[in-house]
Amino acid sequence: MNKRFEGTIERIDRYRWRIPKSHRDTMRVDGIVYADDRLMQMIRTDYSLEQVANVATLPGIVRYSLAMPDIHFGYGFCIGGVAATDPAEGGVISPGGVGYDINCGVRLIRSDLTEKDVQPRLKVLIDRLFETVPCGVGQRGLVKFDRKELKQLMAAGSRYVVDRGFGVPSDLEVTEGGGCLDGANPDYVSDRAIERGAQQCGTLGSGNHFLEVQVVDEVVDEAAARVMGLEKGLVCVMIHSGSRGLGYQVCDDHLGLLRDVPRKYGIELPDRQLACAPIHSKEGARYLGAMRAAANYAWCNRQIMTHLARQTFERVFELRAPQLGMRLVYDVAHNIAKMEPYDVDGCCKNLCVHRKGATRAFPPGHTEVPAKYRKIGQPVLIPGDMGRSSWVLVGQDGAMTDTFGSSCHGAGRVMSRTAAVRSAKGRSIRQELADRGVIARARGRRGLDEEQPEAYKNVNDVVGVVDGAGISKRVCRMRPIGVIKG
Amino acid sequence: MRLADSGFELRDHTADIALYAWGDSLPALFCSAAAGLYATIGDLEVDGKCHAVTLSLEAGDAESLLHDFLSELHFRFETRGEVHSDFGFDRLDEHVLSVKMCMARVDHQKSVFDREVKAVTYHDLEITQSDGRFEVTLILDI
Repeated sequence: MNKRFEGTIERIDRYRWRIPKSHRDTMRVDGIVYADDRLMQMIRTDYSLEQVANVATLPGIVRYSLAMPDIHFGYGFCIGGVAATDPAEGGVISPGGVGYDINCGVRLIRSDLTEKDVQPRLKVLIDRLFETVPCGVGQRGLVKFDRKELKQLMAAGSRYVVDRGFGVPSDLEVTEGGGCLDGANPDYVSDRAIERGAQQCGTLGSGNHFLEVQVVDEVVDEAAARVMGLEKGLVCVMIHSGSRGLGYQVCDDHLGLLRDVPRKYGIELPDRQLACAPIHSKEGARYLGAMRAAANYAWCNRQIMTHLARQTFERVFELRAPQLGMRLVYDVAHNIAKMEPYDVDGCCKNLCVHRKGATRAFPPGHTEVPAKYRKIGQPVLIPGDMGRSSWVLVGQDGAMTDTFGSSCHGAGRVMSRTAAVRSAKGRSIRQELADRGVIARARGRRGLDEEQPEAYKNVNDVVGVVDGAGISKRVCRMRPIGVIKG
Repeated sequence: MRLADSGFELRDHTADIALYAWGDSLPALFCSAAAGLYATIGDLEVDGKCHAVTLSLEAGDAESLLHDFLSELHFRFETRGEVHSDFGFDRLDEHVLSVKMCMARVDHQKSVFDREVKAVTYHDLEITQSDGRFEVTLILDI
């Protein structure tokens, strides 16, 4: 998996590279990778470019197999991979194109508080958040849903938990798809997945998931920032989590169920993690129904944690959340497959867009963008590492013409977890973060070591590529001041 | 009780954990891989009381059987807070596994957790055998 890519890769322009179809006989389309020279040097060192080529072999793939600049090795698809398949042309759906953490995503909650307001109580705030938001191995959610409730939750998405008091109706307007994917079928979610999910809704998890208290550090596009309620010096909360054990199990179940399905439909695959089924097949429909149900669970998970974060701010600052101006800016999914209409050679086609570590980035004027953001484009939330920065961007027209409405999703790892632990020997990552002005709390022994800032690419470089390539535009940069990890 | 930690190594992998396990037989390999899975999660201590569980699995090949066995152990850890403190295979070949396990509850106060495992992946999953040594590298999604 760490093998250097030795195939042909051609430069298209400053930010794009092509793996030509001729790289392998079985490729149906070219691979297109977004990167600058420096990122490409890093990207070439692992197996991810071969994975871009693998995806290009899938039946029904349209135009090209794409990779965003935060590309790195994944299972089946690379992380940062985007592919659209046409159901009318035998197009397939692949769990490997969505990932284990279905609807892993990011949300940003803004506030009227300034850094100056928060600093005197920052340590208390972070300690309270750490006590209140369940995180780490074996932590259970504050609400336990029974089987019937969980099925209703998976069918309805965010609205189900908002109706039970975890948030406000306006949260739904600024959640991708209103916090619900139509066509979810909870009956296709296994008992095992339901058992894993029953006690985890409203929990952060571990690994790269986090809750951060951030400050708007630099505003690049004043007008767009104003529409989002963001200005320099304001404090925000960013939450990164997904569908927890329920989603992981849905993915694993379907990789098993689809193990022999490609052969049944005469599909040859270069990697069994690319197991797939035609979208118009009973196996494909089954995965789609279960995946959508897990996606809806993930939105509920982030919604409950939003509620817990607001409650914590209320207790620490002794004001109600609306008085603190704690409005949800937006919530994006970055591991998902969705049916979306695109113009392909003059025809409007309904394509299945796989985004595996890639964020939807619809441009200004798109009807799917909430009314309040329609003039500026859909907010695109890009978490970086816990020591440097994260970004808010907006979708641009280039995303519709070039990337099936997609942009990057994060910084992307450059250091293995084991190497990060080795490099942290004799150091205190917690103290190093404190020296940078970041209070960090982690449940697991290795959490901070494995997730140290140096383990990631600099997100500024990644964001520079998607901005330069015209698929999304920088609005503001956020600096962490407090971090909760699993 | 401290769980055994022999017969495996956690190796470099960009985003996740590569678990390399070995043994002088298929059952020994499965035991090592199970110990490696638990060690990836942390230093797990159990409360000593245990109950017997019989597990039977069937799969198309030994790799799928190993994947399914580890996934079962992971599921029991995540949903019931249990790990096995002892186990013995009644049968284990390339297609069938039957095992009697003594399951005990993890003591959350005494245990030290490192990280959550999302899933046992199929990536490049291949059991090799040479000179009586069975080896496998499993990628665990973190």
